[in-house]
Amino acid sequence: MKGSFRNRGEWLNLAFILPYLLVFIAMILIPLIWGISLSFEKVDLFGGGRFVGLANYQRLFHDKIFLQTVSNTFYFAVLTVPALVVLGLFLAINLNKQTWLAASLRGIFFSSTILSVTVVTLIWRIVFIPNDGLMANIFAKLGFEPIAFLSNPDWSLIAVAIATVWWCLGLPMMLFIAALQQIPKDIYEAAALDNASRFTVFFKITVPSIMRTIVLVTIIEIVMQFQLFGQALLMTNGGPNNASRSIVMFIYDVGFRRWDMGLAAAASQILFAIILVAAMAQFFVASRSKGNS
Amino acid sequence: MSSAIEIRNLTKRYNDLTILDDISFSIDPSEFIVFLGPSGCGKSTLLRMIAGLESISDGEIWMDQDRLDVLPPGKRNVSMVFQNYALYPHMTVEDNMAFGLKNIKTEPAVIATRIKKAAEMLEMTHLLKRKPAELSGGQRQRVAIGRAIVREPKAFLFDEPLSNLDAALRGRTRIELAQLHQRVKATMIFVTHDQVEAMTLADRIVVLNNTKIEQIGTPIDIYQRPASKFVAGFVGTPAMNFIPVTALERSQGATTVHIDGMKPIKTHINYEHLPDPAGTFEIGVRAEDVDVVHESESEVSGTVSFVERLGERTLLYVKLVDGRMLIANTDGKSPITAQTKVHLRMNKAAIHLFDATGRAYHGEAQ
Repeated sequence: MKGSFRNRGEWLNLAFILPYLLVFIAMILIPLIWGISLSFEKVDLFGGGRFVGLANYQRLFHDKIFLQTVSNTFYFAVLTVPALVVLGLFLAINLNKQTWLAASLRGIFFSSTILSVTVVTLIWRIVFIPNDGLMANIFAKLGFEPIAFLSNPDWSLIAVAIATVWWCLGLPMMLFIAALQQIPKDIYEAAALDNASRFTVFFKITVPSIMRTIVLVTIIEIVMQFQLFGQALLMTNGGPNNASRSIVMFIYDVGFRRWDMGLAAAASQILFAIILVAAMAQFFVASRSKGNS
Repeated sequence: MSSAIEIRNLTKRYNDLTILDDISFSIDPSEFIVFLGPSGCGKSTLLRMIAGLESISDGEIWMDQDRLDVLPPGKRNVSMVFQNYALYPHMTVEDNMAFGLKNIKTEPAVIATRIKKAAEMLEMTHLLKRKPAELSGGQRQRVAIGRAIVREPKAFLFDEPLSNLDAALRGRTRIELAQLHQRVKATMIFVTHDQVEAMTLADRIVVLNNTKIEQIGTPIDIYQRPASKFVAGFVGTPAMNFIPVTALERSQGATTVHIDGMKPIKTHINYEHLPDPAGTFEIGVRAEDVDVVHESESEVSGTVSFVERLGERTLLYVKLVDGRMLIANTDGKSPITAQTKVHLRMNKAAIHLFDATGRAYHGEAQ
């Protein structure tokens, strides 16, 4: 009798998660597996595929543009993820106050997050555009030679990164503020009585207390920033000379402009693997260093 | 290691709200002082002002020859044990204890020696490598005390440190704290709303109420000669009985109290000390000073409405003829049950008088 009751309970539990499970299978699991199988086929947007083994992957590893988009995307992640974590934490610590000013500034810094990518890129094009742009004017006022941010291969990805950090900063800031508010006030008071300097308090009390959130924010941002698409497409269209082309842009071009779905699927799998490895690496490093301390 | 602390005209205000109003008193070196009072009386605020965690609105705090209130918390040379212990959750017990010493660049060998000594004293050597999450409430409490000890401060501050422990552990920790005080001989300030803690630990108790000090005195003083009706009612379980007085009468220098429905009670209170004998008065008498006697010796009679058996003694909640309640005391083996009629007599030497302002008058010398 007892066994059957437990079984019934388990089936009931399954019934509760079933609606989401179906959506998950239909919208995530099947496309994922389908994508993996597509990456082994030669296929265009209409008509069936033909199994070609690892040929798509082989083509990718010999494709100079693809390899450049991979290195561009890594460079972009290196530019944005640490900046988002550090700036987000900096803002959170300074705005985690009960004052009217702090509350307003929190709202202002978060507001950029709700803008669509189109609006964000429009704003930053105005900042970076040569001749009449904000930066050009500032450089001119200071007597420097203006930099053509969007058309200089050394600067275009940096310009996209700056716009992205501005756009995405709200979420890390809010997550860090939420984490900071979970730290009991009395351990800061104990630290004050223990003669801890501001530096010591930050590195020995605050950072260890919010380590889980730092890891979470880093992983979220790695996953998001490796998928760079809209900003690069709208600000530089991947240019000049592919200097700001990202992996997702490459996938889009190959899949929906050249209709080479097999190749696009293979590139998608590589991106998926990169994100997975990067996020896992971050997670393991963080959990190991936590275990050691 | 121990220091005198002096509080001079200390005031604390939050905007229009006054928490503490012009408080002054001094604490002797090595003294164990307890701040006792109801919730919201400002006792924790006062402690936190001494620690430097709360700003002061007015007044000064001195320790020995140094003015304390102008120094940051870390420079005041005091250690604090917080109500929730405030251990650093990501550090081991050892690191928790070492943290303050490392911050003032103490020699590692000295740190190790002090931690070893404190851990042995508190019997927690086996806990040193653990983190706070792996400890029970009582163990965390020890670590918090250990962290305070290793700094060898001039004064220890305790902010209701026993309130999160269960009753048995609280009783044991109380005794350990008293022993610790004897051993380290440091000045200790302890905040509590628990009168048993105050009575058992304190050299002197500072009773705070409503922004002011009600009374400063030894536990016996506070209990036997409360300075005001508030102190009399706040200290002692059950609370003191208060009965309104009909009239006072001089009788051979002492005061005889007349109360409706009772025989006249001849107290030991000097009539000359009463500023306005015609004013409104109440008598106060503790349950243990109200005995069950034969009718001929009694002042008042009533019916027992509830019997509270505490083991070594029994409390009788007696309903008097006029409906008032009077709590009386009888021995633990008493056969008296509810609805029994009893006759009560008060211990004349233990009767207190309170005037309309709450000021107390006691028997013998004022």
